[in-house]
Amino acid sequence: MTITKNQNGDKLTIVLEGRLDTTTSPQLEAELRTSVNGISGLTFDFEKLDYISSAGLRVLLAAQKVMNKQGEMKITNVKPEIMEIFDVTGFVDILSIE
Amino acid sequence: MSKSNKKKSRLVSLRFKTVAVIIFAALVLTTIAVTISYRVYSSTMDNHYKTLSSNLAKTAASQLDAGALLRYYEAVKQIGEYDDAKYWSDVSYKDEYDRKANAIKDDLYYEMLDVLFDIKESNGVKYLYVQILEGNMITYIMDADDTEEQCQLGTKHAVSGPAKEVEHPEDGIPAFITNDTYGWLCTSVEPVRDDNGKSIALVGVDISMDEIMQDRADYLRSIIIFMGIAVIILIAVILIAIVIALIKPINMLSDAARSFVQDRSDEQKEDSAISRLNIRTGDEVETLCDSVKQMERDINRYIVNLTAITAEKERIGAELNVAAQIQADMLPRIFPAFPDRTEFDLYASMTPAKEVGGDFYDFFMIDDSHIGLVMADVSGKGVPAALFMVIAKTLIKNRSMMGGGPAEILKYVNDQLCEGNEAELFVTVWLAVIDITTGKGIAANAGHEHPALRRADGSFELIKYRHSPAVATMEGMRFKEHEFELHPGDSLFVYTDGVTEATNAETILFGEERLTDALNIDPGAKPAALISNVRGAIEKFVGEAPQFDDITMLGFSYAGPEGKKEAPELTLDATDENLDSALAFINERLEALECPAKTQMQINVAVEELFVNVAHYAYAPEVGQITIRFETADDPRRVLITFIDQGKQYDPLAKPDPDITLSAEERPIGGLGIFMVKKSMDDMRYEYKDGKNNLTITKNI
Repeated sequence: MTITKNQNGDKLTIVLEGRLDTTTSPQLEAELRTSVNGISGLTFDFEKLDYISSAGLRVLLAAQKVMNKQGEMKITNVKPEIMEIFDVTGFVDILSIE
Repeated sequence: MSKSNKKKSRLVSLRFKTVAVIIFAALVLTTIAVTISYRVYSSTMDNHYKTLSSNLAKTAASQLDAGALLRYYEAVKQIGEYDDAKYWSDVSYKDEYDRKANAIKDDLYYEMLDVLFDIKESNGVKYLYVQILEGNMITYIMDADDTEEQCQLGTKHAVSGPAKEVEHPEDGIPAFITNDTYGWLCTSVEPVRDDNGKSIALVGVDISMDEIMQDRADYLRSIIIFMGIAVIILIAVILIAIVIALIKPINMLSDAARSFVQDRSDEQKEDSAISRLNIRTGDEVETLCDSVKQMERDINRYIVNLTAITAEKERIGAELNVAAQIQADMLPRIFPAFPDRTEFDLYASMTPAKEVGGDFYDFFMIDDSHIGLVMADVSGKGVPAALFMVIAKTLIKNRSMMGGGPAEILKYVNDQLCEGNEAELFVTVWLAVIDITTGKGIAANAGHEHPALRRADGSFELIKYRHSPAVATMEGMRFKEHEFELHPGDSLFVYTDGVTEATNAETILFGEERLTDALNIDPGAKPAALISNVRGAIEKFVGEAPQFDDITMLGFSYAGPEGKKEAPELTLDATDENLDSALAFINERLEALECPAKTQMQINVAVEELFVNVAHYAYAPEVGQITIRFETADDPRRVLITFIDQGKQYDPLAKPDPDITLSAEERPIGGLGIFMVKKSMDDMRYEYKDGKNNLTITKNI
């Protein structure tokens, strides 16, 4: 998985490419821990994300909880396969998906 | 320590017993001896004194004049009653009485008194007196006493003491002994008779026995002291004698006997402690010693014999073990026997009984398309049966390799075995030749157990038909053979009578019914598992009862000419690092099936969730293995993936689904994985079997 960050003031965009699974989600979790401080707007670009498992969902949920306190978080360009997973797990109601 | 204490106390007790017995015996003997000797001594002395006093009284009586005595008595009666108390207190009465009494005493009186004094002085008599008895009153006439105790002439008193008990006291009183205020006295009273023999007066003689009584006490004391000393000396002597004659040799004997085993193991010692014993007491102890020596010699001879016999037995046992090993090694025991062959699977086993037996199985490829299967049982047991088995097995295999049907093969083997079969052994044989390209087979059954057959998806049943006689019963015999056909999925099971005749403690046979039941526990199982099921059922049935016969089984399953494709499996450590390998294993197969990308992703998610679940929880904190099996099925076309682990028993399906309507703040982190799998898969089954978690997911593609 590749993580690309684009920061603009207190706005941060993270582009994920590849698979967000048990093996890779710790990377994202570590990345967020260091870069989410002082951020009021967090955007995930899932255009190139092919795969997500419950380990990835867990990281997203944790990030959502943090951002609920300091601003907002949204996810963009979700592929249908991943959208289905968000549907099944009820994450569509928790996350702001555009 | 306790041993030596015990020994010591035993010895002390033997000595103590001896001393106690001697003291008791000495006491009894001493008491008897002292009593008897004292009695004899006493009565001798008494008799001596009695005779002496009696003789003295008689002598005195003979010296007295009866007439004169009677005259003094008559005279003294005239002077009135004598008052002894007044005589000694009233001087005038005394003078008056003395005067009157002296007037009576004449020369003869004094003469006789002198005689009495003579007798008294010269014989150590204490008292000597003359009395006259009238009625029950006694009157003193004379008393040879010049002290104040003298009884005055005319002193009177009533008859008392022994005189009262004598019928005719006037005839004298036999000597008697008294102990009163006058001390020990021996008294004798004799009559003084007149010329007509009539008793006139009585002469009394009292001899003092004080001295002799003192002597008697001294005698008693000294005899007791003497006896005491004698007893002590006796005890000492007997003790020494017992120690020398009994305790010491017995101790020597027991020490020698105790060191018997040690002596035997000490090879440097030429002679044992027992043989060195030299007990010459000349009694039973010496006999005992000789017997013990004889026993040692006998035991030694016996041990030598026993050692030889044991060595011989061990040698035979070792050779038998080698024989059993050679025999067992003759049976093909490496499985899978034909790893390249996918058309069939086979497995066989023999559990030998204690003794070498005659069971055997065999299987061999005759050519590229034919396999030969043999199950046989030689009659009898032991080395003869084993040798016969070796010949039979070799003949069957060699003849089979040359080609021909089972009947032809058995005919040849039969003729060969009958030659010089002096031992009259025979062998029951089930022989089949199967064409593995078609499943067609030919079998001959020479007196052997019914084989069990299972058709694909069916259950095992015994195939019963007429058998030919056993091989090696009669020369020139012909054997019947029959054809059969196996279809893919069919299985064959053959065995020896050790299976059906396995006996439990109640001597009930295992039987054919229990055999088919055991086979049908899992009829579709591989041959190895089938045999294991049957063996398990036999062991459970037999319990502790011993196994009398070899238990031999062979299972054969036919997969068809194409062979059965084994479901691919991957076994690896359940760790996050291996997740990619697991996914690669699955994806490779999914791609081969041209699985749609979305479905593939769903299967990937499911595999990851279930794999990670096992990796994180099943063995925590240890690391264990996980097996992933990939299977496909048709109608509908679907993929079945099974996850097998040996970790903690855990049914993920039993877990309630998470509440997906909660807000982000309320949602717990985690618990989603299984839920996602459930939602995306078409079926999900959990089973806990043989200590393993089996979770199978099914996805239609």
